[in-house]
Amino acid sequence: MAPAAFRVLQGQARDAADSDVALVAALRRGEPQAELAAWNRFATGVDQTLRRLLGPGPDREDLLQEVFIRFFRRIGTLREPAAVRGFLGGICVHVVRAEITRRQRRRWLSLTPTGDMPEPAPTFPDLEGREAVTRYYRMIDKLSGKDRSFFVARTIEGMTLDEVAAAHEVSVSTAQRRINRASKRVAALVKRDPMLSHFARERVTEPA
Amino acid sequence: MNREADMPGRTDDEVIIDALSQEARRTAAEDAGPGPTPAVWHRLQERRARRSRPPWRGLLLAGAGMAAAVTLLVVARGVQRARPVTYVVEDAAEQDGYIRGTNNGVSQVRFSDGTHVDLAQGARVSVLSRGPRGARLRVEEGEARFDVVHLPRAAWSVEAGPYVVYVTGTAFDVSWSGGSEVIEVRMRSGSVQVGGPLLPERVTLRAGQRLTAKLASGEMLIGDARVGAGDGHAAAGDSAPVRTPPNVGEPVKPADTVAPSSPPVPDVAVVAPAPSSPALPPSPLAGAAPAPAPKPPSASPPPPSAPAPTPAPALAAPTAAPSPAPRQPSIAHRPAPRVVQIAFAPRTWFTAITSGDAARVVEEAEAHGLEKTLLEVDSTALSALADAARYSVRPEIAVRALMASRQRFPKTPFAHAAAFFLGRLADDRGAVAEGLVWYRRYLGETPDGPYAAEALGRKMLAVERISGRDAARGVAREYVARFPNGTYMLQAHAILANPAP
Repeated sequence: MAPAAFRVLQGQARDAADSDVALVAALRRGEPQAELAAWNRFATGVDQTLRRLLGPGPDREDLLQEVFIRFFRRIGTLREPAAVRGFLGGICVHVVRAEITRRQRRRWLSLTPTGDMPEPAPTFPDLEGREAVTRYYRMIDKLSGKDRSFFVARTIEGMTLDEVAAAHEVSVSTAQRRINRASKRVAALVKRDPMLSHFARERVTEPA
Repeated sequence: MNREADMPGRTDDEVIIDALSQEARRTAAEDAGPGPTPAVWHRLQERRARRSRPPWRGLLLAGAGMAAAVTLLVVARGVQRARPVTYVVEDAAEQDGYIRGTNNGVSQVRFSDGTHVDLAQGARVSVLSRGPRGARLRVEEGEARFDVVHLPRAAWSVEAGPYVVYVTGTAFDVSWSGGSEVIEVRMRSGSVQVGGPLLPERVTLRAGQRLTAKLASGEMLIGDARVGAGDGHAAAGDSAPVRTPPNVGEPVKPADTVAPSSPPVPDVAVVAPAPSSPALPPSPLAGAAPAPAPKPPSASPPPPSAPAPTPAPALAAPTAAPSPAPRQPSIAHRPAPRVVQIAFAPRTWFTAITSGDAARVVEEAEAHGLEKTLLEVDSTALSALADAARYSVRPEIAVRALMASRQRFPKTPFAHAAAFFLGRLADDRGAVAEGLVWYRRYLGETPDGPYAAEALGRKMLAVERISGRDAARGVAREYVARFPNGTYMLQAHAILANPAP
């Protein structure tokens, strides 16, 4: 599974990590332009992370704003400045988890079937792939909020076990246990959906 | 930690999930687009500003509670104090606020704040309403002498026929003749403002000045209170014998507005073409273009007790009845004018505005004569006057000052800035198209001027309002490119991002 483009793994993009450290230092000093610089550097990545964690749907600018509000507020608690992107990823996980909880509450209240605004009709050529992704996220949404968060962070966002555990403030073994449980549940749901299981097997057998 | 190391042996379930998760990432990458627009950043900043709560919020709340308690106390005391002024009538007949002076000439109305009104023989005055800081009075007929005590936020007004004299604290006489429709206001100290027919805007009268308006003939006279009206009508010296308070025997002091050593300034009589005629000079136009051959005035001697002011023949008040055709206002001068000089120091206007005394600037300009001021003062003072008028919510004066600035000092920074402010004034009063013309003119004259950002932003909104969102896109693009942190950024992005409704 390829890492998300936004995230910088150890050993990669050393310069970027160095300048991240400088940026965090500037943020902590309260330099006036530091926040805008952080936005310019991280906003696109955070936006994509939110898309991956949430699934298809309209732009959720409010969630992006929420991530940065929390980020600016908590930057002083970041222990390792070089890990600022992981720190942001953790915030994304928390924000999305809260959003999923809110959605599930709304679904329970039957405001809309999905707890979301109706989606516009897709206008993309790869309708089958999008249909599969939409169905996949529906399966994922059947998990509890906590399990969903662990599962998505690990499988779709591509976080390491350590990162997932850190983001959820649990031990690695607890994270592993939750991910395994969620994976089994999702796999079972996918296998019950002929379209999804067929699509998944086709993709696996396709040449890279 | 490497992800592959986390999942060494992949089961069938994991393979399915991996394939679908990969497809989910691909779809998300397709949908991602170029990322959040700068407008999202601005909205984030707004949201943070709304959410930001100081850590000492509790203290603030406690402080606010205390402040509210103090306010309640003050309001309660204010309510207690906010009783309307009361009055007693001496030697006059009074019924339900309608007061008629007796024939012995000593009728007086005394108010609880110390203000008193002396009624001439046969004069009639009504107390229309009373408030905690003053009262609304009406001179029904005859002459009354007012000594209004100057208290903070005093609010007194005296109506006479269709005229209203606005008072804060001063001494003056008002006479009104309902039969001949003539009002006369004579100032003894302080200043008042007078509004009514023949006056396009309120006129400020200062100590020593007199205003006479004859509705029937459309004549308006603003002159020296110590000389007669020139038409046999009551003047300070020959008016009905209002009961004489101690200071009546003294010479009428024009207070701080009279400079005895100053060169003589003539009084001016103005004949209004008709009551509905356009703007008349509302104040003494001292030094205006001389009018030849003034009519011989009818003498009106000064008060006997006055220490011999110059034996001034009365003003040559025009005697001709107004003709049906509109006439230009004519100006006549007395041969031996009195010395009446209104403070007029345009060089101090800039400082006055920075000191927050914009009202004084407008007042000076009006007292000096607005037309004359617009022609005389330099570009800095003109600009200051325009600013003062805007700050004093006198847009009509601001527009005239700005237009004068452009006409008299073209191609100067003042003239360029005037174009922008003219646009803004037009915009503010709803004349969007006119505002757009001025914004374009300003941007054409000074594309990088100090108001370029606001002018371009306002231009963008004006174009959107007039021609629609599609037409405004070009301006919005220019704005975003030129002023990426400008105050109209959100609107510009909204125009660019959203289709026309």
